[in-house]
Amino acid sequence: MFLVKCPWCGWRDQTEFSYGGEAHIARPLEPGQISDQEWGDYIYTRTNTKGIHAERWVHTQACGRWFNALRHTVTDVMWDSYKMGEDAPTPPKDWDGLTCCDDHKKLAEGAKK
Amino acid sequence: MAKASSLYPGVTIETPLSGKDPIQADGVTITELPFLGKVTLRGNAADPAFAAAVKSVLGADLPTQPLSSLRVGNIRVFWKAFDEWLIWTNEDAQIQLITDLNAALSGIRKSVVDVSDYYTVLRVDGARSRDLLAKGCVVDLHPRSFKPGQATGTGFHHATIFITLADADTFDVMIRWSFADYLWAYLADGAREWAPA
Ligand SMILES: [Zn+2]
Ligand SMILES: [Zn+2]
Repeated sequence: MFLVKCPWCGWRDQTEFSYGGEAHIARPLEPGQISDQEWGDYIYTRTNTKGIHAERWVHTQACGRWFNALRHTVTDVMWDSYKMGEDAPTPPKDWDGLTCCDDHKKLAEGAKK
Repeated sequence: MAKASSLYPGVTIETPLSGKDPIQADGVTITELPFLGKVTLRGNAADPAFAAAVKSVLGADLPTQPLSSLRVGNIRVFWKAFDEWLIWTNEDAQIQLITDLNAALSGIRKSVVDVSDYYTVLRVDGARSRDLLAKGCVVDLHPRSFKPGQATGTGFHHATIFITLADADTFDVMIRWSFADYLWAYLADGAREWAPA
């Protein structure tokens, strides 16, 4: 289990959400004009990222809205989320994949003491 | 309690919790608020025509801050999403409200749906209300993070609920009709550690 940030409702327990797979995969505009290979790529081929992954979530049990988020696939820590149509935020290059916002940094530091 | 319908002569109405006595424990009481009117309203709050039309009926601006709510007389309006609100009224008062909203919003994109009989509402009241609700609710209900008037959908163990803090230690929890008995039983069991000897 981990925390997910809804762009509207804020940081909440993951169990309130449903996962929607990798984000920013555009449906081919003319499915009839493309090869089986291209259609297969659209349906099945994913980046299978180790590290920061852009993905879709829906806040099923609360506001019910879809959004995108960046999650570290090794640590399951979410960096941030963003609304559909917005550009993805950029985590710092040296992000450890463990701490996200300042709130959680404080929590993590408190836990170490 | 089952009772006579005010709308349909000769018809008896009840909720899934009719016939259950309130749960009383040391520091927490659970009762049902049966037969509240419940309406789901959807529309574009950023559209001045929509906002003005709704205000002309409710007498107040729709809450647009996430998790916020407001009261106007006997009506409670909850933010549900950026384009969706939940409205609670007294029993059967939702019928007039829906008529008024549809009239005021004529020609404006909206959705007004009576969901009164899709849910019921439980009131969890008392100094131990947070301790009891924490046994199944994943939202942090501590006073530092969940303030009076706040409201949100969330999970309660296997159920989906909508919860609001009505007043200091008074929570109102809306639950789907078919899940009401599950939630009631869960809360009754959870309150046993504080049951009077
Ligand atoms: Zn949300
Ligand atoms: Zn954080």
